[in-house]
Amino acid sequence: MGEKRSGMPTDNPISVLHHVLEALAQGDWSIFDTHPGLYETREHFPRLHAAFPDLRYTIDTEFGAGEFIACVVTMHGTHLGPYQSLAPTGTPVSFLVLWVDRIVDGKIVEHWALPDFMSLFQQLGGMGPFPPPLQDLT
Amino acid sequence: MSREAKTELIQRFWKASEGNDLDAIVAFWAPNAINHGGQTAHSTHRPPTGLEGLKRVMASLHTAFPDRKYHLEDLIVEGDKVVCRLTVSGTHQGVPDIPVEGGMLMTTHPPTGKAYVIQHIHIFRLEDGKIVEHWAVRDDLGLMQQLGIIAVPGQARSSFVP
Repeated sequence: MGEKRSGMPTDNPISVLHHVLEALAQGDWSIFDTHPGLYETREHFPRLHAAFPDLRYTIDTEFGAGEFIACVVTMHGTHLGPYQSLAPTGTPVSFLVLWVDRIVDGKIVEHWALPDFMSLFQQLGGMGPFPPPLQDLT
Repeated sequence: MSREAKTELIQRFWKASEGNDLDAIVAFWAPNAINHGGQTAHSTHRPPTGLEGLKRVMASLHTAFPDRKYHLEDLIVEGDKVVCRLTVSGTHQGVPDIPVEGGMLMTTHPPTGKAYVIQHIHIFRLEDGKIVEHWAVRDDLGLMQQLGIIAVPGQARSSFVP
């Protein structure tokens, strides 16, 4: 675990994905220098990690197709630092991220990921208490 | 099923999903299909199950956003799985019965008449020409901000990427 993880050459796109997720969970931001497609992640992920410093992940499903990989990742963590406008609540949360990368020569060159931030905010109570829906959910 | 057949099936599914023919939409799904939506162990909402549940979801979508359009940016097929990256647009014209696009707050908020454009990612698993499993994440937070229903201070963009 003490080894430098970023920049490890590999041709297998799924291995690249695993390597990147592990680096993100560990807070190893040197990963951003290796993968040019993560330029937006570089901007936002460290803030998320600061709010949920114990952030970890499970890969629910993953597959590769040529240069593309896609996966469903569940992020887990505890709200121990400020997040957006919310002071730390100590709340354990989990939210889904759907993640698609185009990987060329072991580098992420394009990255699309949608985290379910709405669910995250709801779990943190950031939307206030919800009024009941118009029709009962059964 | 060939790669082309899977591609064509999902393209037809999105086209059908723009309309309100609920029987035509659920015909793409196996009766025992699992719709994970975006739920996790901590989710505050779970989508209704079964084909009848799916009809309720689609009917609510149509009530809230009757003009919605699904623009496919990418469609990737590998084995039994299909990934779609979509740009979704529409206008907020009604009150859905159950939480769909936009989530729980939409079920109690009067229609704003505002237009929105957001990103979705969906993953389908197919078996015998039917959808048997589905995961999706939508930029619901971005949608709610575009409609002016919620504001999240300190957020520079309507959607952001982890």
